[in-house]
Amino acid sequence: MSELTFHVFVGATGDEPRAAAQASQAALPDAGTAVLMFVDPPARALEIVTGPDAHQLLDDSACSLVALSMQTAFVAGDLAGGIIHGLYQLGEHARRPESLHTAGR
Amino acid sequence: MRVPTAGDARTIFRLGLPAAVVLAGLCLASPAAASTPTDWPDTDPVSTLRALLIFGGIPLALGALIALLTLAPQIARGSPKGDSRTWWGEPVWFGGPAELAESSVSGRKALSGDADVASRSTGSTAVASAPKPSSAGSTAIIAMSPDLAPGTSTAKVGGAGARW
Repeated sequence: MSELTFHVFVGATGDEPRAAAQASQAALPDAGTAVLMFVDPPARALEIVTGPDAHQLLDDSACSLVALSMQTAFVAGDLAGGIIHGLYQLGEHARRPESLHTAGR
Repeated sequence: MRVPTAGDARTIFRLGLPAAVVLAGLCLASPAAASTPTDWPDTDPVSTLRALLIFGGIPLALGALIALLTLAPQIARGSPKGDSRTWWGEPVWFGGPAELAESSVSGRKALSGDADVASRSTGSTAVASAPKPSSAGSTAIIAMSPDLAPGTSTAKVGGAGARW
């Protein structure tokens, strides 16, 4: 379990999707461990925002890969499918590394 | 006298089958080596320009026609980029508090009213310059979070963005 919380917002936000996404993510009750997927269809914008703690597990490179995958689906018109697969991929990237030297003790 | 065995038959078959295939191919292809019949009329040589038009112009015209037919519906509808009228859905939160939905509808309230929340939570202003959408039709932009470059403090938000 990554102990991260994933939130998805889909809707029109305005001219600055990134700023709106970060403000919304910061307003979440568990902002430190929250991962917000922010989709603005009118602006054709996708933002993935990770809190300070979530960023320890989910770095920007992983988020970029997920964003690229979602973007591919969105370009094809598959909004829901892109979000679902993006969530799956974020969850897969957010796994804590297993400490083998402490296993079984 | 030595009697042929089954192994000898297999060897003959293995050698004879490829040879038979090659011979059959040569026999079938022999008409291709025939010269032009003498009773065919002599025609004028095709000019380079005419050859280019036939072998280059016609395929290009066909490609342009197919592309036009493919893009015609989208051109007729007009580009939906930046047109908020193409999105009629209400803002939806999955896993988020309900009160955030309204503040994110306009974007302005989220930017102004929640800015202090952002700074308290993340220890910074947490507002980054968003990459502008490209003016090209479907050109995509993938941008990593500009406020969390490698090597910077981890007490900031991270993430990535994309445009489509």
